[in-house]
Amino acid sequence: MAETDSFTKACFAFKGSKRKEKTSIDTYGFTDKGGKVRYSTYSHLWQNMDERIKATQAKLYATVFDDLLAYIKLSHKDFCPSTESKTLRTKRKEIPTTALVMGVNMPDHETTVTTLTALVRRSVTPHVATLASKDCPSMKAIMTKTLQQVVANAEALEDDDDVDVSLRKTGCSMSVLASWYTDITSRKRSPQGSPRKRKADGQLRRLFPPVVVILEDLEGFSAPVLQDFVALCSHYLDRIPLVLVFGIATAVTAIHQILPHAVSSLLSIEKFQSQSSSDYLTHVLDQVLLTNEFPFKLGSRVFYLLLDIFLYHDFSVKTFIQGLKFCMMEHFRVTAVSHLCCGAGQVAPRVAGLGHAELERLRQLPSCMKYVESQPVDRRKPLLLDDTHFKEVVTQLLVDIDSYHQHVFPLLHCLHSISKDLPRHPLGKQLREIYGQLLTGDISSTEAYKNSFSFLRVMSRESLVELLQKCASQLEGFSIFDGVVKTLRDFTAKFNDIENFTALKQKVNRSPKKGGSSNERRQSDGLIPQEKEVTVFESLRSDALQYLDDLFSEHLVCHKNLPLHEIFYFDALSAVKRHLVGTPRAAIQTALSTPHYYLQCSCCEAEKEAILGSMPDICVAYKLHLECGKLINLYDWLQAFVTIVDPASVDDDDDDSTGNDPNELMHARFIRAVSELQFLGFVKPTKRKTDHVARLTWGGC
Amino acid sequence: MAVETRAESTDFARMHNELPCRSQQIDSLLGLFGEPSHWTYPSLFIYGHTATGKTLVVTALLQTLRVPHAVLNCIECYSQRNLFEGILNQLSSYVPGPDNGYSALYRCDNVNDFIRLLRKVIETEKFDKETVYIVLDKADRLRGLDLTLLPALVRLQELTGNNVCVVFISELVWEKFRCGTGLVEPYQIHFPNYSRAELVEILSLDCPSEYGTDFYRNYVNMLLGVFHLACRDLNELRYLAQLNFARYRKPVDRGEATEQDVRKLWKNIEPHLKTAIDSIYLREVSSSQWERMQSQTADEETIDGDLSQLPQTLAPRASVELPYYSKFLLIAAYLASYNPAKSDRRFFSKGRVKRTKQTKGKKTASSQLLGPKIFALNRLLAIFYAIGDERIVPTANIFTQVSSLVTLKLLAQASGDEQIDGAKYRCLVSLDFIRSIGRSVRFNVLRYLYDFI
Repeated sequence: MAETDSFTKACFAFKGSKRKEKTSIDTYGFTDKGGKVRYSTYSHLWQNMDERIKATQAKLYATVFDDLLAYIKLSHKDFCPSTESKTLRTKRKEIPTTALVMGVNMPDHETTVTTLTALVRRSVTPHVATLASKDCPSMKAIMTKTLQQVVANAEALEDDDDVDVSLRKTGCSMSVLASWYTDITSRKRSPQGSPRKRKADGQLRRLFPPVVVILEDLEGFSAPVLQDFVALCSHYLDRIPLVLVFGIATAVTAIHQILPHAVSSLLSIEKFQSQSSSDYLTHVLDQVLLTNEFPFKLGSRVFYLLLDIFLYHDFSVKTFIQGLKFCMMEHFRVTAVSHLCCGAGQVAPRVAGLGHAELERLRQLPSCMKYVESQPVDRRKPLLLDDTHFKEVVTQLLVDIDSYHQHVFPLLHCLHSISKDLPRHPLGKQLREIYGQLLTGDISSTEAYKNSFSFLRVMSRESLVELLQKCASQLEGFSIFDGVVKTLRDFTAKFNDIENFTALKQKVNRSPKKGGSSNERRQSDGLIPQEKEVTVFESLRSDALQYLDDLFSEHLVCHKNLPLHEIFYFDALSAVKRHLVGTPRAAIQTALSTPHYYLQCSCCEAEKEAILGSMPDICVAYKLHLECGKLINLYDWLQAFVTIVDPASVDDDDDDSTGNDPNELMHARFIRAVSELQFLGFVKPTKRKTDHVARLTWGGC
Repeated sequence: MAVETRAESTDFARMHNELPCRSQQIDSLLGLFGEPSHWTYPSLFIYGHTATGKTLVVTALLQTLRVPHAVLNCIECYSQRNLFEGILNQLSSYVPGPDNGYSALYRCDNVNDFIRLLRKVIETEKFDKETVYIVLDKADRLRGLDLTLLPALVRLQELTGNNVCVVFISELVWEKFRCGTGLVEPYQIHFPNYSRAELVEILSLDCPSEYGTDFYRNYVNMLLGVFHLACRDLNELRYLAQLNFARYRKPVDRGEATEQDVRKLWKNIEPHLKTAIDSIYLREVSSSQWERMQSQTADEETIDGDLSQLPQTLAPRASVELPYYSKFLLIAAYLASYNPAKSDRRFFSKGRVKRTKQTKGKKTASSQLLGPKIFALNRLLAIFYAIGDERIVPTANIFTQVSSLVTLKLLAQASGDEQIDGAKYRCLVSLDFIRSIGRSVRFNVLRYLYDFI
């Protein structure tokens, strides 16, 4: 432990010095170069992935945002601050408001809102303010925030004009905003000079860009503040073209929960629904994991963990992506030769650059050892001893994995398109479910897969043709699948051809398709189609399905069968769990029962059950209380505590006849430890017995 | 009525025309104001329900009379300083702008300075021969500011020694303003609600020029026939009138009916108004969206007026998709809020349930009527682990979900933020909502509710 020159017991922060590289070099004994290459591979890969994710997100939001922007653009198209020619009875105007329902995945909202703000600023108006509820506890704060952002943005936009607004000093109020707005717009108008130029309607619109106020999380705002804010906005609506955007996590009814009718009637609300986060995740997975562009993949256990966090806990894609990023970092940090995890084009030079030590590490990978063992005896030796030969083999194996990826993902989509509409969804409704099964094991040997095919075997001609077409369209555009697409199209054509043919046959065979017969056939033996009353259609059907089955069984194998898959697949569940899933209670118990785990000091190193006097007081008290029953006698506890922490004093006390009360320091330390335990919820005071406390946990000794 | 020097009599005529049904109030206000040089009653208090023309009448009067005045909306005055500086700015016709760095004319943040500066302003602007009016709209907000503010404003004439009249406008009665000492009773004027006939008259003013007034009056009459029971707010009625007029006039536009064909027009509009009454006050769709929907349905034009299939924007109102464990947490919170803690053992203990002697005294009121009760975090988690179908690891994610439910306003924190070791919560969702959540995870909430056993 680092020493400080302070006397107090407190937490001190020690700045680490370049932890990242040091650990990779020290802990794993690599050359400096290896660590650096891995790091650069990682950062390059992550950068690409990140860009891809952002592009996906932008594309997904485009649809809903387009509508929203159009609405904002149109909302004040005939705005004109004509305050003079007002009649006494002004027409009541509502504030154009958009309610953007974003779903409960709150960690994602920040990105959504940032994107929206940027979009609005780029395409509609420079005057945008984004308010978060935590910044706006009062009317004053909300006004200050709004003004600062609106004015500051405009300043940044036209910094050549010396807009010398020192708003921060003066009081921020709506009237200031109004006069600022009038000033800005009039200044914009004046250089254009002659009124002839301004007759176009579109130009006029640009002259009065709306002021957009985005409230990120409507639910979080305090009701009175928001009510006042809306009332004020409507008060100034004839001078400033305001548009409000409410970001809502739950449902539109939230607006009515916060705003009473008197206020909500000032709004003209239009509702927009943003993409559901489940769809969003599907797209991200599709772009990032289900593609051979990015060689890094998740193993089944980690994949399921991240998916569970998503489905069970927060619906947040952002958390998922961060988990993915963490997995990547961990993978490149820990796995020995992970810089080979790169595109197929770079494999050869990288393998060529491997040193002997790195090759040894490769040989020690379990999948590689398995591969060597599977080879004939005479070829094992060169693999293990001849580095150049081994390099060739490694290159080949890595290229194989790449081609595996090329094949597997289109076929996965294909299988998904077939199976998603089957009754009871044996393979799941979402692509990610099939992918999870693929990661776990060979998909063609699973029960679900067999179930789906048994459904397919009783399908009618029309739906089967449709499915085949779906398959073909999924595989189209991949040059490696040209042959497959052709075969599928042939099948479709044949199915179409037999239409007349079957009609003819039907007259001969009374029943072309017997439910019972097909059932029996399935039971007896799957795929031998030759029976008496098999029609042309049936035989063709089983041919087609057999073809698909073979195709899937050939390519949709689990990555675990491939040698060197450890380079691409990250499956260290415990590491991820430790970092991503906080378990406060387990952490507290570990800290209390084995303080050495966190403190890393030599004095506390001990067996799990042992109690040492050198441990922190609370640990001693905790371990002692584990030995007690439901009620703990405080005095006995104290005695045991003193015996352990300060055995010398107990011996002394025995010699003295002054009584065996421990000294005050011990007393104080003990009381402190007990109240800390009480704070942590392990004991509580009880009235059932004097001088006792009740234990609140079970177990122990 | 006093003869005004600056305002022409035509102005008054116009005002009476444009502000119908408020003649009595206008007259009494004019009587109180008198001529500019007359000393007016130090403070007036104008109250009445929403949309009874209080602000409109007062501002219109002051504008017509062309007397010095300042009109402030007290919502904007969240601090005394805003209020004082706003009044002073307006009286000296000073607008904060880029030329003066958006600062106020004077810096003023207490009553003493305000009175001094007000005198100064009156002197420099030469207002000492006439009455200066200060109108404070939504005056109820003033009660939230400094305790001495309201008494000072009421006595402003006395304190400044100038001819100043402060007009308070509020929806509350004066009794609600009485607090502390030093209040002088202002002169109170009540603006009563419009009667039905008056509403018709006012609404008829909105008549579009291309239609006859009688036609529109009929329409307004029909509208009031449906809505008057539910709503007397002029604003809301105007909104509804505007919203539904397009529908009403459609037969006339198409030439299927004449403007006098009242019965036919009524038949046409009635079902629409009946559906509109369900969403009165809600405004979940904007008027533009509503108009679009109306035109859509009009295009389809099923003659029997089948309105059951309203567009989707109206139909699913409160559907919230929650993560799996959040649903269970919410259910647990609901059970904790509505079940007495004593009954937990009966519902959730896994082993034998020892039925102790039921000491059911008199049946207490249903907790559904009493509302949700506060529960501790521990109890919530205990119930959560009991109803969760599988073994759930107590991770930090579970705890963050509790707080995110609070941010979503599905739970409310009942203990202070600083009390971290015994956080208490209350569940805010309704029984219907929790039942639908329960259905989505195949959990029958009613079986676990004490009131329904």
